[in-house]
Amino acid sequence: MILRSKIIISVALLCMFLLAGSASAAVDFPADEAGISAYVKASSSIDLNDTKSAFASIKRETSDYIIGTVALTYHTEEEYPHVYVSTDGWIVAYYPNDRPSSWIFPWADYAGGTLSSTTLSKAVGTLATAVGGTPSGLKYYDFRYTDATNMMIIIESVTSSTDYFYVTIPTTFSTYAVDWSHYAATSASTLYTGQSHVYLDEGTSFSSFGRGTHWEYGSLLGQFSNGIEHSIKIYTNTGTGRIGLVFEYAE
Amino acid sequence: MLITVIFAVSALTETDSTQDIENETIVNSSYNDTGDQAADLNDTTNRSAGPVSIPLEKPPFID
Repeated sequence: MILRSKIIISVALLCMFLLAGSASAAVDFPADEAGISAYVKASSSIDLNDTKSAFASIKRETSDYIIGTVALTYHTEEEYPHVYVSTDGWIVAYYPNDRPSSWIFPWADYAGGTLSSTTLSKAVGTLATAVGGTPSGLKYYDFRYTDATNMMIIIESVTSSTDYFYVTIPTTFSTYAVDWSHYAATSASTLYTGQSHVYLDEGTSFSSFGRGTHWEYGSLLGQFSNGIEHSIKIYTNTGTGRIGLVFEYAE
Repeated sequence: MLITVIFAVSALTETDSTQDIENETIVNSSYNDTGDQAADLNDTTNRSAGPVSIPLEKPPFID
């Protein structure tokens, strides 16, 4: 009888533990769907009702968390980061894992020079403001590359000119992502029709635009060898061109 | 660590080395900006912004 009681109590405690675990919003974060991410513990607790007006769309809603998209001014809906917010205070902005990490470049409202934000940090900031919390202590993680320890960002900008930079990845490093994004805003002059091209190692252009404002994303993983000096060149006439690279690696 | 020193040739367009990414803003002061120091990944030259290295840290809410 005593043994039976002990078993019942043990099973009851186990059930309580499991139920408590499943009720934790963080447990339900869709790590298998996320790629590059920015996250913060914005508050000790969050009333999800306070967050709903900050979402452009809500894709999943439970009593513990909401997942939706957050609008970014001048960006397309496709570029809106996905954002997870939980009652226990976590805000995580992320892009789905099929997108290059270079989606973090906020080209639509980047004026050149210093880069003071990313699309993900903007989205986290929107939600943090909505709940009266703070995005202070924001961190980044890529759920695809659990062994990557660092992310490096490089941008080259030109105005009706050509420019380039060099990158050499040490042979001892493990590289998980070499993602790029090319932006151009060109017009037509009496002599030229706007165009912008980006080249790896003076080879064939890997991204090209004609006249107008455009940006796109891609990856150079597999074309960027360790221990080899690589050049990235951008040429843009009659306007502005930018090339941004995101490396994810472990030393 | 392999550090490759690269010198920009004179034909390159000069860029403002002060126009680095404001990493502290990106991560809200959780990271010490490397600025123009020799980068961990590489030594890059003549870029408009960066290189800046940001730690990738596993969230505590992930098993």
